[in-house]
Amino acid sequence: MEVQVAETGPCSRTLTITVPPASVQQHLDEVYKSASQQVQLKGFRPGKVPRKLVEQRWGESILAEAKEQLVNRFLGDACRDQQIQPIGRVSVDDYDKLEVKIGTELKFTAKVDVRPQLEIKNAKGLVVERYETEATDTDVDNALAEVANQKRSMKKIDEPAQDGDFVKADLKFQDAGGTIVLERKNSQLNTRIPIAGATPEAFAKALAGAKPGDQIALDITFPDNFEKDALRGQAGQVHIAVHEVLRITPAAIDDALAKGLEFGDLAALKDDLRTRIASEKVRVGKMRQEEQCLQALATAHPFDLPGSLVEEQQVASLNTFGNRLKQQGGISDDEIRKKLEESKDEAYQDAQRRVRLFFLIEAVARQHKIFVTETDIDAELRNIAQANSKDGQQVTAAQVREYLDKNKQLGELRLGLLERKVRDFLRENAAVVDKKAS
Amino acid sequence: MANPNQYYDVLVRPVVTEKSTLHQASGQYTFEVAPQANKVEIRKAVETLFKVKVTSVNIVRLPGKIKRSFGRPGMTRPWKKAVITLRKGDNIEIA
Repeated sequence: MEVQVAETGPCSRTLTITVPPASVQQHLDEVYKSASQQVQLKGFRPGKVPRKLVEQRWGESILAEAKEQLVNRFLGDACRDQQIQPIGRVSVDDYDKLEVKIGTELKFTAKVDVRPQLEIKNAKGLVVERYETEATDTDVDNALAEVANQKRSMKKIDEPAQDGDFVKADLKFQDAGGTIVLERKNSQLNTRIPIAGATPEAFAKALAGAKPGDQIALDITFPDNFEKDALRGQAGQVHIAVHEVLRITPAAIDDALAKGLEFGDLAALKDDLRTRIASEKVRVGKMRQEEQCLQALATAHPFDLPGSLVEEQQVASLNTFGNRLKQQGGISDDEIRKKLEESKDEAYQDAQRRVRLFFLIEAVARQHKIFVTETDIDAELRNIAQANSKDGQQVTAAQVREYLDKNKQLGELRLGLLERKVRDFLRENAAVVDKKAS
Repeated sequence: MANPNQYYDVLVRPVVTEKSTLHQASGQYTFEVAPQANKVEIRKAVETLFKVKVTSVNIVRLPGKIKRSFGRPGMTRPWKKAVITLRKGDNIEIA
């Protein structure tokens, strides 16, 4: 086998491989021998079909398979000989035109991407900003207000209606001659949602300041879906007799609110919120520090990325996005295509960021001898098993391992654990400085 | 000259089996032939259609076999087989 390697970019190599006729012949002989053992033909005992017949009947598909095997085998050998570690997609020039024939050599050109040369100089002492670990009184108050807002209710008020309030009223629709054509009792109206046929501005103006007992007349144009066909599109009037004004009011921040959420009193609720806010601040703070470390590393170590790997990531993320849109429904294929087209650039940027991160993490792990051990994997499998166990149905770590192994996701799990370990390492060895006043 | 299409009625199909393939090495080719065809017609048919020289024709009538299908007895069809020997150097491509 003859191999010529050309460096076609920082992360790409072109290999021109020539397989001598003898090797092609030897491979084809093996392939036909194996095919003869497998094919079944009436009139022949199994494994006794002559090669000539096999060639005549199944030659085309066998040669196609042999071509794939030859290319893979010799490309693999060439990469090993030349100490090239391909990464991402491998493309063979004019693969369809390649012909495998007995007595002729096989010459093909393959383009492969290789890992970038990346040496991390120093992954320790990266500067990160200190994060808050305590929840302030303002944080707790804001969270309480949010909780109270979630427990809001509609209450009758003795005030004139304001923007956003509700009004309970009787409605009488009259035609241009003053004849009542439709009556509605106890309708609930929102000042922001006009009656069909009224303009939003006129409706909001008419209800502004309304109080119980008020009689409001409002000009309308009967809408196209009005119950009486003859009046559709005609001018008319609606008379609104206001009974009540209602307003959405957040729940009162008191012990009752806390008890409704299964806390003893308001102080207990506040304590719980304080703890939760503090732990969330720590989580977000740690994540921010890790991002700062990785950003600093990326800035200090610029390197080129293998194009095919970025493209693979881009395609994968666009496919996921497309599938999600399809599952959501209510959107045509054309619209999905348009959205995917619009997201292409963003997906490319994201793919670049992820691939860069992958190589940085790998380089840090290599430099500082960070490994994922079987103990780490077992612990993670136990965590997953525990998270997926429900009452009466216990999932074991062995079952999780079997499932992941079957779906070829153990590698992904290992990679995820490595990333977590590297992130922890970077954060724990970083130099923490106080946040700059903005 | 006789119409060559009539020879296609004489030769029904080549017989491709382990045994017939083995015989090809010694210049013997096996065909299923029409039940009424005789040695002379078979010789002419092979010589005309394959442009070869036939040195001998051997014929064998194969009776139908009794087979059972869904418990009922039935017969496979009887057929006639011809083993043709070609002049040394001649050959026929049979797929």
